[in-house]
Amino acid sequence: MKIKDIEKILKSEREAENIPDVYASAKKAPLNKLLSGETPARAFQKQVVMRLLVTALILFAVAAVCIGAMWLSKPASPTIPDCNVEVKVISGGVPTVYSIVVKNEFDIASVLKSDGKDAQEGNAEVIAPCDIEDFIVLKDGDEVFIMSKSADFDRALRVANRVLADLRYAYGDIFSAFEIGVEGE
Amino acid sequence: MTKQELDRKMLLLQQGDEQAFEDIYNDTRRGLFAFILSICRNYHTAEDMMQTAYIRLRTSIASYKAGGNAYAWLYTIAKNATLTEMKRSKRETPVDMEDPASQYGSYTMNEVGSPVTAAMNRALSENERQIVTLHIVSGFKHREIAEILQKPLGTVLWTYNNALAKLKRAIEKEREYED
Repeated sequence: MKIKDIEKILKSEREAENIPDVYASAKKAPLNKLLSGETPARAFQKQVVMRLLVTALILFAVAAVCIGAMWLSKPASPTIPDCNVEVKVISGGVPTVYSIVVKNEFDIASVLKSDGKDAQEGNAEVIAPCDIEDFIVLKDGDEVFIMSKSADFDRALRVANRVLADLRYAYGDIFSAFEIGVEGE
Repeated sequence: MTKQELDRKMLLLQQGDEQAFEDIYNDTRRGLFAFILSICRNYHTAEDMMQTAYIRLRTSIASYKAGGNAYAWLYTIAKNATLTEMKRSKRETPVDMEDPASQYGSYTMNEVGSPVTAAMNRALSENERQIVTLHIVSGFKHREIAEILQKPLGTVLWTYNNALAKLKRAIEKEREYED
């Protein structure tokens, strides 16, 4: 059999084939025609711009979600635990106890003045918060005991040292004894 | 229809002329179906892919550039759609390596009435079948086939001649068995 014959037979076999008719179903597809006056290049450019815009919007949305998630998960700034300081001043054998609540770094929030026993009975005198040297009055020879308690040991120690430093600054080394106690976790 | 006439029809279709679509369809359906069938070798798959090709022609006509090779453009759409579908169905359908029909799809044409076509489907590779079909059935010149398949002209010529020689040997062998 010659090659030419094979070509002829193949052609006639294929022409005898039943070709399916998909015209009606294909015609239902929308015709993406050009707008009047538009060129394929311009249509393509519009398509590219749209795709870039959509991509940019998606990236922006993803970035916004990530930043929002990071912001929400950011740990809150650590709160500074309160510190309860008891300053006992023994002056001429008479004790005076100052129960001080210190907030933030060294903000005196409240002060109760008592002889120790009255405070337990709930009869302490409330003093308006002010500088420590304004409500603790020391005289030469007084004994000073400072007890600082806080959830944070280091904070309790710092506050205690601050109280001592403020008293020393105000009164110099006039007290005959002092003791610092610190309690904390 | 010549290449230039088809190009004009494409431009009319771009402007929304439905008659142009009908003309394009009637001119290309036989050759396009034969080409798709040479790739997938399954009548029903070829029918689906032919529909897909014409749908894509309609939905992407705005991107057709005037003066281009409209046949190459349309046949490329058809080829890409068919190959994508074949890859997809291979992923989804388990292939029986012992059964050639499972690997390559079943050709449902009447082999008694079409012995040469049957021999072509058995003996030639996908590439060879495409080139032979485009030349003999669709009537394209080798240069046009090179443009459609994005291959060098020399490669197309060599593959075509080699494919026909192979087909001739296959047919002669089958005749020996029958005798």
